[in-house]
Amino acid sequence: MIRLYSIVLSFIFLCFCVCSYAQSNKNISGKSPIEYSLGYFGNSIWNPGLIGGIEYPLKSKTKTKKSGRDITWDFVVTHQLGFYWDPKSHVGAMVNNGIILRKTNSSNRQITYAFSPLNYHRSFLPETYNVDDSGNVSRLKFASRGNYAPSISIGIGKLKENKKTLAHHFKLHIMMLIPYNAGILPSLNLEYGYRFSRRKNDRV
Amino acid sequence: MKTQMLSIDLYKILLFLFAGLISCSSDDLSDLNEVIYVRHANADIPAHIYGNGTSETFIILLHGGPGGSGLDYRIGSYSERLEERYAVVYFDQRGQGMAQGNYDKDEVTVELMAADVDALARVLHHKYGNDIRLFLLGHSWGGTLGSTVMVTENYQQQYNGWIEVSGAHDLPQTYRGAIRQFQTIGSEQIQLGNNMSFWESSLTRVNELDTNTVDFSYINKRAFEAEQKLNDDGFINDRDEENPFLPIKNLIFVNNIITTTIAGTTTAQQLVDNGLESYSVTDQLSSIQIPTLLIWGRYDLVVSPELGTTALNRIASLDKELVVFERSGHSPMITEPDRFVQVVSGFIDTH
Repeated sequence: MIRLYSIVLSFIFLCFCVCSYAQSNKNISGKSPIEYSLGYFGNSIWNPGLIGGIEYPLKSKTKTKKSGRDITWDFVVTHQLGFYWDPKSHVGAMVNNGIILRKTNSSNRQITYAFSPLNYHRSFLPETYNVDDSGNVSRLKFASRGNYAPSISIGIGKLKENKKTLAHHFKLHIMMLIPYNAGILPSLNLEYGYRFSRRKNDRV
Repeated sequence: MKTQMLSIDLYKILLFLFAGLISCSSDDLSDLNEVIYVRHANADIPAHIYGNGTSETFIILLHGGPGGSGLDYRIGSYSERLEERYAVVYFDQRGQGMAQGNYDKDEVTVELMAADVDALARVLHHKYGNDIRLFLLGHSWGGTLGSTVMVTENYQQQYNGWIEVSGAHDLPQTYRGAIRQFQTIGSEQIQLGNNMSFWESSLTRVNELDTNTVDFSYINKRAFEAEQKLNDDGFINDRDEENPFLPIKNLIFVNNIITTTIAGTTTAQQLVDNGLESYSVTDQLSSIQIPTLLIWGRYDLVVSPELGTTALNRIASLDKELVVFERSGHSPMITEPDRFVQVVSGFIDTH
């Protein structure tokens, strides 16, 4: 487990370095290429939550099809913080770190594939009592439990022209909570939100 | 300015969500509505507590399955009426419902789950005082677990009474008893000319089952179909449909159905892998000294009433009773809720 935490922390540190590099490496207009995202997150509308983060485009490649239409592929590093409220049960919080492959067609419609191998999820429990091996009971303050939580996701979206709100998107996340009880728990979550920037979208 | 507005909106949303989280509990003893977690042996297990705490009487309800969840049982009028009189504690059990933890598959055993129930009883005494009266009620698989609690060490001393409803305290006998029950009731129904093709095909298949092994895959599914046929022919009452939205509310608004389904199925399989199908506490039932109420449905084809008779004969307590519900199958609390509440309340109020 210590080894796992070390890997997660190393990756987060690496991501921090990439972001710092991105901040210092501003584009020609003098503004950072970093984009921000914020959205609803949950497994249904009754398990509400929020997710937000930053995205740093690492590489972009445009291909022109025989029909003359352009297809753009963006390779993006992303870091997200999110949480949700599971009524009568717990609050889940997570840190996601991963990569996004985003395809944009000439009508600005986007398909997103994401892989986040080094995520961490923590459940914060309501009133919790610990019972030890001798049967002694004590109330725990801020009881919680953590899981390694890698995820994959697929989403659709649409770029907006010449606005700071770059795009809106809808994603389906499949997250694995490891360990969960005596096994693994797959968890389905939906995300609907926006991606925005400090500068207007000049890509369309 | 826009950034500032966005941060204020975000702050309001966060505040709303946090308020929602902390508002999910009520300290009003006369109308308890809260969830607490029991952390025991590397598991965090929720207990949903509803009802009248001023009675100082708490019923710990052990759900069936294995693989169910506590709130599956907060349905129908029986639970509402019990909650009017007592506090009812719907316990999710290790690895089921919204319980979480980190432990090995080998640790998914009935014995450890019984220790979890004992831990819950200790927590309730710690939270509500040592003067409260505790009753344990287990249905079906909950009867397996509850019986294990009763025969383990000194666990039974925490309770004023044990209520077993269609409890499978002996899995091999449950299997063989279900076969015999199919043969008996099937023959009766064929003589009466009811649903002939269903009962004849059931009897043909049941008579081919190997009674030297235990395999519930066919007989459990067929048993529930049979109960529906018995309901169609007027032998079993309709299911209590008072407040039909409560199960839906519990399923969608309270529990995360993806989590409960996957976790429950996984845990049930782990229990089977660890030898559940040969599990029996029949030989230890003689160690039960506390008042015991046994409730069975006359037409229970899942856990035959013969298990109730066995328990009645074996349990050492002098204060014991077997009540057979004549118009019920496996879930008398749903098909005869009035009588169920009357019998359970009578037992609790006597002890």
